[in-house]
Amino acid sequence: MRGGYDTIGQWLRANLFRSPLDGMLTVLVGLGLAWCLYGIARWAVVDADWSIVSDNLRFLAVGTLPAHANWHAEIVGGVMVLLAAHAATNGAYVGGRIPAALLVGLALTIAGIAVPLRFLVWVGLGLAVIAVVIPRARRTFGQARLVTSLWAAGAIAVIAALASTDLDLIGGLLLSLLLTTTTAIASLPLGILLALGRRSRNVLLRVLCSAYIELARSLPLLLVVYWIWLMLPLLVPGWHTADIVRAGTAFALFVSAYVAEYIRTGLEAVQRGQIEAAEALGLRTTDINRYIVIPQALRTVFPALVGNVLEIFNAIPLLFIIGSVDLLRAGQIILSNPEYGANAMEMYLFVFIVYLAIGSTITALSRKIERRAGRAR
Amino acid sequence: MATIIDINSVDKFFGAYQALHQVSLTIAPGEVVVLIGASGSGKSTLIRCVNGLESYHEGSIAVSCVQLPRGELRSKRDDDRLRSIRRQVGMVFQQFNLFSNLTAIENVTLAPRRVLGMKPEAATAEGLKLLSRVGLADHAWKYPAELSGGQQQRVAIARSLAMQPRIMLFDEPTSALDPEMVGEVLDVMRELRSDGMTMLIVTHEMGFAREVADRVVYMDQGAIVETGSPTDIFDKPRHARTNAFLSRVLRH
Amino acid sequence: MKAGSRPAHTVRRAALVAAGILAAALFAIGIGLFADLPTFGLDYRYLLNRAGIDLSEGSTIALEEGLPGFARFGPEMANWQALLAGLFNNLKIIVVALVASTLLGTLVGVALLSRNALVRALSFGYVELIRNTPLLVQLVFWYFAIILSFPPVSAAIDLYGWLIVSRRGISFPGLSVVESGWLSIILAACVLVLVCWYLWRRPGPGRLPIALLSFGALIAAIPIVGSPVELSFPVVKRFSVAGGIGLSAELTGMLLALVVFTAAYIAEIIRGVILSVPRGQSEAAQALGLSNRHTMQDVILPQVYRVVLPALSNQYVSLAKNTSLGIAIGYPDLFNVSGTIANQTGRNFESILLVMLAYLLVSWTIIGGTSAINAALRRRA
Repeated sequence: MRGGYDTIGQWLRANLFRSPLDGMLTVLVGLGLAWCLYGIARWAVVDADWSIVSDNLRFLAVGTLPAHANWHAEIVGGVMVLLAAHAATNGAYVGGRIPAALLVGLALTIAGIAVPLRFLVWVGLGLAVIAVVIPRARRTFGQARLVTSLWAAGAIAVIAALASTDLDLIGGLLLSLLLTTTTAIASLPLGILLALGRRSRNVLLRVLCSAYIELARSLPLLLVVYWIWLMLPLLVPGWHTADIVRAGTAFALFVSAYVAEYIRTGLEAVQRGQIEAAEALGLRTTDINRYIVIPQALRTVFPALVGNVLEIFNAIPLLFIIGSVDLLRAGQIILSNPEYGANAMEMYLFVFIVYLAIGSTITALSRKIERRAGRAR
Repeated sequence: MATIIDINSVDKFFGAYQALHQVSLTIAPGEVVVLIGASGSGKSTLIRCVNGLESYHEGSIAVSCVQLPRGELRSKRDDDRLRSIRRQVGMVFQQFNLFSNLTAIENVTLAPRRVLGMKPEAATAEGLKLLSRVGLADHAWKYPAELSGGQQQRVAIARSLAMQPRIMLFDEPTSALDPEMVGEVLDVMRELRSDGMTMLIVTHEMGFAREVADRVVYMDQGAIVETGSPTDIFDKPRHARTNAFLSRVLRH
Repeated sequence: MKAGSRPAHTVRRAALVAAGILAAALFAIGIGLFADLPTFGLDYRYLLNRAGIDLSEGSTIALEEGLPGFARFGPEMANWQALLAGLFNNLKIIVVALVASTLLGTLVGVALLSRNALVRALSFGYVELIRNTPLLVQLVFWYFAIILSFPPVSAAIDLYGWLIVSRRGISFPGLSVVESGWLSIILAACVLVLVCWYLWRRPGPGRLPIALLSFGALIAAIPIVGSPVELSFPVVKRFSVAGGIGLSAELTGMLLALVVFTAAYIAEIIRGVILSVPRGQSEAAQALGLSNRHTMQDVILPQVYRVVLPALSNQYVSLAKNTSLGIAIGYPDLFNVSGTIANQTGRNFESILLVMLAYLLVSWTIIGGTSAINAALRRRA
């Protein structure tokens, strides 16, 4: 048994009842916990009226997306799963995992066809593709090219999902996931550019990048995002895109300051000898950055960047300030209907649980990646 | 040309500390020169000045009649000049410094592709030839982390050779290796010498120095104390300091 | 967003960079305000105009009988006073939440390392719950789901005047200063500061008696001089609660959400710091014969203090930034108020600039303050 205990009794005594005081604490806390849980469960099953959630499920999930555009949701969902699966398996594709991922992928595909639920089919196919393609691709193309092409593929898929529909109709959970994905993808190159600019020999570039990074990190998100969102149409004359693109751009610019700091840590961790060897070979600075410094820096900070995705996801609700309707806002809009006034608790609890589920998944993935990165060292 | 490396009365400072005092040295094409001396004697600093990894403050250093830029500040023209010099000068480091994110063959082909403009297929073919020359053709697709120290250093030598340099600099190439791997690296260096490569080597391997060097240079406290043929230096040192150093080192 | 780790030299660099921007901005404001020159289209004279808005709560600096003092904000006051009221509303939260979340966070941080598996599991659950959900969701949950389910004022929960809870907020008894009481208070404060300074500089036995003695003397002086403060109990009136210290529903919601949120992150930091003290330290202490209590007090905790403050200062700055979320529940914080004023006067850019400056100042104060305390602690330990 874990910890070296022979029986459950021993484990209980050591962990919960080590001393009389300890035992009393356990009993009190245990009783309190049970009472709370009972109260919540009772309320949830007996008193609560969940129709506010069930009636409005579509709005909460995709906002005002027209029915014929459902495939957008499916593509985004599929891309999310692909990215998550890639993130979870990045770094070491050990023997046992390929068959498992392949099996799960095939199973989901079949289930999706049977149920029928098109979303599942997408997810299943995606997993199966990942299981087979990625190891082979890595051998043929090399790690760097593989990662780049996956980023590019993700970006293209997301853009395709956004195309040919009125973007402002997207809302709810779909918007949250969409914005998370696009921001995570877009902030990476922006962050790299900022981090490199901060180390540049050009003094003006260095000052501008430093100033931007420090300001964006010292000021509240609401403030910075609102400011950028206001300024964008002025700085880029003829800005005619949808609101969501404007919101997404402002947010991505904000996040890239944080990403730049992570990358800076990675850049500073690259050993001096690597750069000297490259210089001794006569390589240009751009080439040194592109082939040696940045790949090594990214490898070092990759776990932190994945953790950053959680921060991005948790910051999306704050974009209400620039008018985006994510899951939380959708819930609040529903609640403004006087008919649902008394059911605030149900709605907020639902929203809370959905966010918690997704957040916990991202955290679990992030932990797994950190563990694997630590082992590989 | 008569000399391929021309070092003339070079002074170098690290802040207030003077690392090189009026160092002068000329090396002819095809010559193998070995620098010996205690740590802190300036031999690594000198060799790193030859390909511009360290800057020098007084005097002049010229490689193939092209002068290296003097001083700390470098203009764009200085950078271009430096890079053209580095194309002819290969360097092998004590810590190997193989690019950890690239395989052995990728390490060898990166510079030929990006600096010499070779096509990937040609570069890979050349790279594989070099790797088999150092005895590592089977390990071409391994990452540095999967190679032993001796293997990494041999890949590093192949990487420098891929640029077809006229001069090879070696900064204590075997000091970081376990004793049993020193031999394989020295073998490669012996081969290079018989192929006629101009080599400037910093090493503690006195037996090797006696065997391959055309000239041995003893440095102490940033200045050249004595130079001569291996027999002259090892058997008949003229300066007391040289004698003292050799007796300390050759005792074991 | 999560605050990353910031070693001292990057903090200095950040300060330098932002200082340049601050200087430039102040310059622009100054010119705009006092000279008649337009600077980049910025015009700050609107700050002196009458606000014409009302805030649900907040005090600001106003002139009473010629002397500056605190007064409840009203629509007849100027715009700058409105902004100041908003800033004070932020500060109210920051000061209280900083202390409360540190206390709660330390408690939970220690609980995360408890021997009792149930306590450990609960603490872990709490931290995971908080970290995996967005702060805004937690805030609206606290406010809309919980506080607005409190009973209305007419049916308020009233614990004999010691605590009154209703939909309008919570109230509890508070001290208010009697007419002439200010002088006594200031004198007593001076005495206390002197005593503390003396005790700080002269460590050694006998400190506790001196402290108790001086405190006792102050208390004994009260019947002689007359109490400078009096306790006022809150009383439920028809539509509101009067007396005592009253926290509005919005303020309560902000405090609850921010304290619970920040405490979870602080707990993780505390746990990490305690774990990072090498086991060899306590082993050596035990080998020397030190008791558990002395091990904790003299060996472990000093090492914790040395390391923990810079990490905590990051969380404090995050806390300060998070107070801007008040706008989501209608708490009149600086961002909220400046938004309202910007709407009225059309001065968007000027408003944002002012708010940015205010936040930068607050961040620096926090970073500077914790650096100073950290330096003092390190010198001592």
